[in-house]
Amino acid sequence: MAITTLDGLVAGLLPPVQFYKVTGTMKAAGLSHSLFYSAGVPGAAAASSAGIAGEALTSYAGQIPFPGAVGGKSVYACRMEAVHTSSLGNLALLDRLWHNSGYSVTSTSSQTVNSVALPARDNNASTNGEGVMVAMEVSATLGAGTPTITVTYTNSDGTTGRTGTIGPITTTSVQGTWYPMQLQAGDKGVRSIQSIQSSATMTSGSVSFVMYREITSMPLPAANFGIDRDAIALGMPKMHDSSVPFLVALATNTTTTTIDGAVGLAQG
Amino acid sequence: MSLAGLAAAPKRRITWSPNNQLSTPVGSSWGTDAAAAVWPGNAIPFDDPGVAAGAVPTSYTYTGKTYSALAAASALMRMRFEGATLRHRVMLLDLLWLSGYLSPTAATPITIGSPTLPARDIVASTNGVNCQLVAWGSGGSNSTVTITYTNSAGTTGRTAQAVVGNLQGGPTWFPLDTGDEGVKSVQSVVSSSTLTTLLLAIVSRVAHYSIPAASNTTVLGGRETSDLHNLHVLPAGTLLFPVWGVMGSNTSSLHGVTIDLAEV
Repeated sequence: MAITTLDGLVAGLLPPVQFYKVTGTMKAAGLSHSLFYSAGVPGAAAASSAGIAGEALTSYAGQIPFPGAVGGKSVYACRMEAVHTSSLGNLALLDRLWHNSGYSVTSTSSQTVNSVALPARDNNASTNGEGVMVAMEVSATLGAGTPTITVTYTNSDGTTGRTGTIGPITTTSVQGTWYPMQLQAGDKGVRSIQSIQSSATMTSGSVSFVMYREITSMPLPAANFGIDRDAIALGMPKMHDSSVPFLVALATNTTTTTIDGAVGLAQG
Repeated sequence: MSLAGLAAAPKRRITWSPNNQLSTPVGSSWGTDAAAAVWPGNAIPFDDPGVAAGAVPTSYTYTGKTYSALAAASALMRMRFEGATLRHRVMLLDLLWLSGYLSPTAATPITIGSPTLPARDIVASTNGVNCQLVAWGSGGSNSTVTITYTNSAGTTGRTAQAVVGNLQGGPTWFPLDTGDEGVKSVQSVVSSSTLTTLLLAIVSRVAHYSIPAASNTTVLGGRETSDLHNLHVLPAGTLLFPVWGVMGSNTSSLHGVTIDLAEV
């Protein structure tokens, strides 16, 4: 079953899910900032303690609430609305499929990950990983160091030994700083991570690596002006059952900002 | 609900008229700015339910007019308002719970014990999923207010804290405890200093009407929205109240808010 008509959309629209987050000081203009650990509504998430192999996620405290599965129905992102006080240029809604803990930020040796299997929420509702990306998310402020991170992974076609790069990391990155990984040429997504290696120490702090799928995004214009996108503008991207939505924003400055808005979903 | 069904459904209109009373400096609705504020006309916009535990309101009186809960489930079709320098948005709240008028003094907790919420959170339950805590303050000093609550998962002893202004027309929004998705009930409140009157509420934000830059002018003008953005069915019993989102002090005016509903 799917929403295929305007009537179907009208019938399936759900109440908006509201959010507001206070970012805290961000690291730098041009770097993205995860709102996962930011105070507000929903409350800040606690960092994963799953260990380096990570955990496949079907719910997580601090996520944006997501409706329960209804047999024969699908969920679509149909609206985003937000306003911010300053310092943000883009807002993305992501589905968090997997994250981990336990990566040593001081070691320069290759660290074995062997990630647990993804939930079936890639672009095609499979575990293959098409459209699934990787990012390093700072879960506690880092110390000095500007390493490049190399991730060895299996791509969504099942090809092993692929390598992606993250960074270089900005020294003393603050909690929430979000570093997406560049895929190896030709790849469309990540099925699993085998190992991760830093080129230099980050001295202190902690990070989580996250496998995610971007659902949608919208620009944020000047501060204190509202902006929204409806179902047509967003293209009604499908969100699979048991999604774990969260937000990542692009910082245009380092200043603490409040961002407030809503996500609208339709189920039908 | 279909387009044809919406077209055929009985229509209902609700209007709030603030009587031009906003052409004075307006404070933030985010809890960081306690400047003088007059939206929605009074620092405390609702009457005192009379008991600290408060009540699930079914109506309120504002500018001499009584606003009642929706008698029937209704689709939110359209909103219109007039104003100048409106800033970023007008929001519609569903009032799920209002405390009594509280008069906190420094460090003296007040027991609340709020009743069960109506089943109007985003999943139509009484658990308060995605429902927020807000407060209005009046008189005394700007104060750090700490609320102990039960979250929407039923976990007790959760805390939320924010600075509530002593003359703040817009509600102060409280950030929730780690990982919480919403508020089911309120157990107690404590303030860092005296507030003459403090009113707490649990609300669900049912609509957000963004005001783009082009509309944020100093010239009084009408705005309207009619689109898919906020179209969804509000259950019978919903008690709507508009608030205006302002970040930082601003000189603004708002002359009327009108919404159109289709009973479905």
